[in-house]
Amino acid sequence: MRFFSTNLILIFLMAFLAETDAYSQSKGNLWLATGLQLHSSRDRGFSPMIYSGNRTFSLATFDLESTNKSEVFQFEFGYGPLTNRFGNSLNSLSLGLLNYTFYHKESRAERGLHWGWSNQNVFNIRRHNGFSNYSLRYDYFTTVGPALRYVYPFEWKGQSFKWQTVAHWQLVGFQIKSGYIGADPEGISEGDSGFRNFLRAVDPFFAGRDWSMGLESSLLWTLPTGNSLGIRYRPEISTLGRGQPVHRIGQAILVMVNVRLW
Amino acid sequence: MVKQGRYFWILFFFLLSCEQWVLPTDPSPGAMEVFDSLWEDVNDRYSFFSHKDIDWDRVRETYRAKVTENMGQLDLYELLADMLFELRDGHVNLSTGFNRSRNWEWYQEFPVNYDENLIQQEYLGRDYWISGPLLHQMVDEVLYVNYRSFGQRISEANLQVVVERARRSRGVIIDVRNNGGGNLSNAELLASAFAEEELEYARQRIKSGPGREEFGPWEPMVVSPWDEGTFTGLVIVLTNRRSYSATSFFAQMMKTLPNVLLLGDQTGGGGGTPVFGELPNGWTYRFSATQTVDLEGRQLEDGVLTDVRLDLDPAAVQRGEDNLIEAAISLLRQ
Repeated sequence: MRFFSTNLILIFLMAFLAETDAYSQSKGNLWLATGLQLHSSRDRGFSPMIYSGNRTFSLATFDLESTNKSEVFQFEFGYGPLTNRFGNSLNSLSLGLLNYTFYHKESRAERGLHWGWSNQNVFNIRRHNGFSNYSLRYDYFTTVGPALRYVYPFEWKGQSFKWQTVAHWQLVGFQIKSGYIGADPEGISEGDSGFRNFLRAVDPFFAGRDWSMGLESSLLWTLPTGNSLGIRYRPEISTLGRGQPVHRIGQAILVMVNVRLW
Repeated sequence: MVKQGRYFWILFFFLLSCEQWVLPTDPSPGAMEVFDSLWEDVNDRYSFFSHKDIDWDRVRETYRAKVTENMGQLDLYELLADMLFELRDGHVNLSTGFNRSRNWEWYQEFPVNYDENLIQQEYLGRDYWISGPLLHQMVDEVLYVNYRSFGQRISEANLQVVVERARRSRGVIIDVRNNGGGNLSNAELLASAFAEEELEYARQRIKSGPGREEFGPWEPMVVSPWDEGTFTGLVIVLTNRRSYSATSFFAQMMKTLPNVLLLGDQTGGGGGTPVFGELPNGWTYRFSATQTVDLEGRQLEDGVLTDVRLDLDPAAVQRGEDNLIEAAISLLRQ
C-alpha cells in the first residue's frame, strides 16, 4: 500500500512537471474577488414566495493563458440570510466551481472575441428558520455549455485598462436535488445499493426545462508590476424545473485583485 | 472589434430582462388566491386523505363558495381554519399573528386519565430527582419517571442517572401521559436506554408527488441499545389520549421491546410528520406529510394501543391514589 502510494505521488509529480513544461510559454494569473450579491430565490418545496437578500460573495480564480487557448478555474462562495416580504427568513449558502476554456488560435488572447465552452458545478443549500421539520433543502448540478469572452484593452490618461466580459449558457448535464417533501433526493433510499441509489437520485439537466446562464463584466486597471485591480459585475440566473422547482437570480458587485503568477 | 462588444450588451440586457421570467412576482394576497394556495398545497402534500377517507374536492367546493374578495382577515382565517379542521389531524395548524387554528379532538372527547397534582403530592413528593426534563422518584422500590414533553432535551448525563437508579429498583414506570410530543430524537434516546438489541419498531413513508397514493418506499424505523449501557429489567409505560406525536412514536418503540408493557389508554396518534408552508398573505401552516405504520401495518396516526387498558378511577383519586401507577407498581413487584 505504501509502495503504491509513493508511486502514485511520483506519477502525479511527473505529470505536473510535464504539464508545467507544456505551459512554460504561458501566463498564469490568480484572481481574488469579494463583494456583495443581491440574491433572490424561490424554492417551491418551501414556499411560493420569493426570498431575497444581500449575501457575501467571493471568488478565487486561476487563469492559465497559452498561445492557443485560455483556461479558467473559478471557485465561488456565497452565503447570507434571505427574507420574504413578510419577514420570514432562510439562510442560503452556495459553493461553485466554474471552468471556462476559450480558444484564440486565430486571434490574440489579449484582445477580441473568443469562443469556448464552460463547465459549471454548483451546490446550493438553504435552511428555513421558521419551519421545525423539513427545513433543509439543497440542490447540485454539473453542466456544460458554450461560453464567450470579449477582451478590450485600452489606454486612458496614460494608464492601462482592460474591459473583459465573459458569458456562459449551460445546456446539458446532471442534477441532484431535495425531494418532494424532505431534504433527501427522491429515490436515494429505495434500494440497498448505495451506488444504485445515487443513480436513481440523479436526473438530467437540459436547457429548456432547466436553465443556468451568467455574465461577468470586469473593468481592470493594470499596475506597472503587471498585477491588476478591478471591479466586476456578475448577473446570473438558474432554474431547476424538475420536482419542486427552484429559481434563482443573483447580481454581484465585486472588487478584484489580480496577481500575476508567471 | 468594438462592434463585437455589442453582443455582450445584448446578452446583458437579455439577462436583466430574464428576472420577471425566472422569478415572477409573489402571488397576490387576495382571499381567493390565499384559499387556492392552501387548498392546493394540502391537496398535493397531505398524507392521510385515503386513510381517513376525506373527500378534499368536496371540501373545496363547500368552502371556496364562501370566499369573497372583500372578506376581512378574521373571516378568511375562520374559513381556512374550518377547512383544515376537516382533516381531523392534530398536526394541522394555521398560524397567523392573531391566532393559531388546531384540531384537538384526538384527546378532548376521551377520558383525561391523568391528575398532575395527585402525582406531585402522592408519588413525586417533595424530594424527587430532577434530571433535566426527567422527574423521578423511588416508590415502593419501583422507579417512577415522569416526562412531560419530548420537546425538552434529555442529555446523556440525565439518562445515565435514570439508568443507574433503575438498576437499583425492581422495575421502572415511565409516565408519558399528557406528553404532547416534541423531538423524535429525545424519544429515541430514552427508548434506547431500555433496548437490549436493535429492533425495528415501525415503518415510515413520505409523500413523493401530488397523487393521493404517491409515496416513497416504506423505510424501517429502528430503536438501538444505548452505547452507555441499558436497563433491561421490566418497564411499564403509562399513556393516555393526550400522549401525542413523538410520544406515540416512543410508545411504539417501547411496545416493541420484550421487557416493556404499555398501560392506560391508547395514545392520541400523530403518526404523520408535519411539513410547513406559507401563504401569499404571510400566514404559515403545517400538516402531515408522512405515514407511519407499526409492524402489523396499523397507522400510528390512529394511536398506539396499550397492552393493559385502564382508565383513571375517580374513587381511587378520592383515596389519593392513581390506580394506573398502583397497577403498574403491582405488576412490577409480582
